[in-house]
Amino acid sequence: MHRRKFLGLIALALAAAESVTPAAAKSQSRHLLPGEAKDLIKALGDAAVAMLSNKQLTKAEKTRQFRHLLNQSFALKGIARFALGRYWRRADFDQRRRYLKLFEDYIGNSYAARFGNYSGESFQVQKEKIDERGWAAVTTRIQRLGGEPVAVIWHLREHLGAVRIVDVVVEGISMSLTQRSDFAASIRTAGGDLDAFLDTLENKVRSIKSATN
Amino acid sequence: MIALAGVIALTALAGCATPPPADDKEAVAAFKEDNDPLEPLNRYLFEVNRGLDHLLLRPVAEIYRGALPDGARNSVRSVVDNLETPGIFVHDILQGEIDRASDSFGRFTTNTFYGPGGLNDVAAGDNPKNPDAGIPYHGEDLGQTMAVWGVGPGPYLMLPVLGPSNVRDALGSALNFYINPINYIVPNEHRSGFSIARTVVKGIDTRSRSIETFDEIERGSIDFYATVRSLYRQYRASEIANGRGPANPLPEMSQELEEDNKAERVSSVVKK
Repeated sequence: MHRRKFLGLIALALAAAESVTPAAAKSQSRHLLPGEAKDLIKALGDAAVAMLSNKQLTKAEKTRQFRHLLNQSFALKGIARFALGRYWRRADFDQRRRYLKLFEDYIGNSYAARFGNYSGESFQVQKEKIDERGWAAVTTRIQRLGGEPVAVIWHLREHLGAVRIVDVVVEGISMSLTQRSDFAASIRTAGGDLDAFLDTLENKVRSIKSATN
Repeated sequence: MIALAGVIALTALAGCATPPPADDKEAVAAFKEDNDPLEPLNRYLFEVNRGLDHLLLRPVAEIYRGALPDGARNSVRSVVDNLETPGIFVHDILQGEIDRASDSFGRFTTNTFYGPGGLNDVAAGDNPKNPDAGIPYHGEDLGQTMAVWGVGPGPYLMLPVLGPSNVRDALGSALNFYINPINYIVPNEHRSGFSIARTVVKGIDTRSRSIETFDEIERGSIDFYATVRSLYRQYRASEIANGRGPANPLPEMSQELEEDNKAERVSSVVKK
């Protein structure tokens, strides 16, 4: 029904995410311009709400599109490194590659499970604040049907020409920080053995997948 | 007192978390950040609490949610929140938050007289077209007031039945009873019963609103205990800050991202 409109919104979100300025290439990171992050979050929110409330999409198709949005708008590699913390530096090339692949799967599946049954939400972008690092914090309010409104703050930064989300803070709780605590404890339980942790993560991804399908 | 002695005895039995060797600086920093010296005991109590939740709290919360329509549940919450508001007002004052104190005062009088009796949260407005109209509820307690006064949280604690806490907040919730003026309007012999009843009702109501959220967090986390510990910390920090979070969130993230970029360049050169 609204497929065309939806694709348009995705294209808009991607265009905003991919906008590259030649000057940015040199310094790796530049300060965000006022309104830049806000527009990106607005486009992303509209696209996500349109997609989630589209009753003609199958669950599998929704998951696929959702993961596509996630991959395009989140700095998944940066978030993954942050989540692994000090163990990232100790990891060798193969472990890193395996971890990054698993992390993307993990986030994709857990977010798809979390938001998959949303419908009829309203997504309202409220304000934007740019700090001295040039990162932006965009405050939004998500109203669920019959639920309390939830305050969500999106943190974005520009890196290597792309503006991407580095953290989502829901009612004062940072997703990136929570993940980091979870992973650190799990690695410690495994006695600091990164491969054992990666096996655990792999099993987790599998169990989330089977619970949602 | 008996409970305290029990906790101490259990601690002795369960032993303490083993600190990492002092030469591993990063591990020591992580250990300090966790601030959870009683981790083995806390983990044990966490499992006990999960069992209790599974057997008692969650089923009761599900029945409560199934039996009462949303409006009635909102009234239940509104009544207990309203009874808590005089205490919140005292804490607003103790924290020097004059605007928030006036919010609490306004909410209590409005909801008590026009609610009536707190049955409807008329002060919040609940206007979907203009969500910023009205005065929304905010909570305060002795733990938060002590934090504002500069008292540190102390080690993380998992309290039996009551759930995640820390030394400061546990002490705060034990003494908070004496601060809420509403407790003094009932006869002395009913005071603690009145306070416990409010806590139980609030607990069931809150649980009934978080059934799916908690399931998702549990399904998504690898170490559920550590996830809850992190969630509790962040939640309390945000409550204490009264919505005025740090101007520069995730300072370590910015550091780490830069550092890792360097590490990555090195690793791609060294690539085997």
